[in-house]
Amino acid sequence: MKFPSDSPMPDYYSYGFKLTEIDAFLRSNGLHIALADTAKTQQKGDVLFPEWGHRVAPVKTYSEHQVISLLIGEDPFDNSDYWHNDIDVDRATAKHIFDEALEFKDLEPDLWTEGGESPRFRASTLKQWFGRMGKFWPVPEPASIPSLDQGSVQLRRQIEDLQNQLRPFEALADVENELVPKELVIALRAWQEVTENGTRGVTGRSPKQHIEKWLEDNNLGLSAGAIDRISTLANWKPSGGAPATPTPDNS
Amino acid sequence: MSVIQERLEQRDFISLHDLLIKISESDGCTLGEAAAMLCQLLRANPEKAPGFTFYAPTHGVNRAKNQQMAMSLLDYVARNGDFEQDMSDEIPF
Repeated sequence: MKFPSDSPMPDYYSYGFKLTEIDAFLRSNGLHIALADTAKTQQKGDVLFPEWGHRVAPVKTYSEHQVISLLIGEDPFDNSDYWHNDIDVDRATAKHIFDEALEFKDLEPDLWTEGGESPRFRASTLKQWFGRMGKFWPVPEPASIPSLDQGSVQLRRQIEDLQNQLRPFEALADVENELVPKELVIALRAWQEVTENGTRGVTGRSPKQHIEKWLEDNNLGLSAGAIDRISTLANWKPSGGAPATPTPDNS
Repeated sequence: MSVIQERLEQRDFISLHDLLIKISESDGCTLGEAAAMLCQLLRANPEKAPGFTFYAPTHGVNRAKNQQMAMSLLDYVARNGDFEQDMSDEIPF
């Protein structure tokens, strides 16, 4: 294995070409050589397509001069040499091939512009025509947008509903928000822990006492007054009294 | 193949070595003939000919700084029918 470096040593592994560029260049000179392994091409996507091919993939129809650009492997939307008076031999040959195809009805326009003077050709028509000529169609299929199935749509709606329900609590969760009363946040947390987020009652002592114990056990550095205020706030049974301890008879 | 290995393999690059081998295998011509054809095409269409690129694992694919060196590598194969051998790792006696 050679170590590649841009050095004067003969390095046939490091010097080369962009695969897409040399492929288009050889094709434009009539050399159709499978440069990329077909299986690899299918696995890895559109390896052989030129960069502009992906850009023009969504285009549905092409004009005459764009078809000629496609025939010589050039970007159909690059008009830089279209207005030159000197048409090069590649473009002239492609124009001749195009004119002949129309004359012999190998290729027929799919639609005409409003004035009825300029033909337009669908990409699918051109792709078939290129195929019949054994020429490489340089435009990949447009990427399809996967549609969501019914289950995914339902799931998405549920997520949106939940997001809407949680929105009022967003500010409370912001610990850096100076407007959020810290004791309110602690009260909420204590209530969630003691009642397992509102799913379980308490037995033995009163709810207020349970919350006080939780606050003390968790060493939050609260004063006796703060513990009293918070446990009062989080107490879901302010009328007082411990709930009845369940017995085998009433449980 | 790992994700990273696959990503590294997806570069838009073909080395002169692989290109000449592919052309000769595809067409049935010799390496020298493949190189000669490529030299002629590149020189006949300097405006449309793609520039040589250089691949290094640390830098990816970039335009080769030494375009003449790349061309001389091709010229060598066209004249001699085979790749120029790198003599630098031969043990001197």
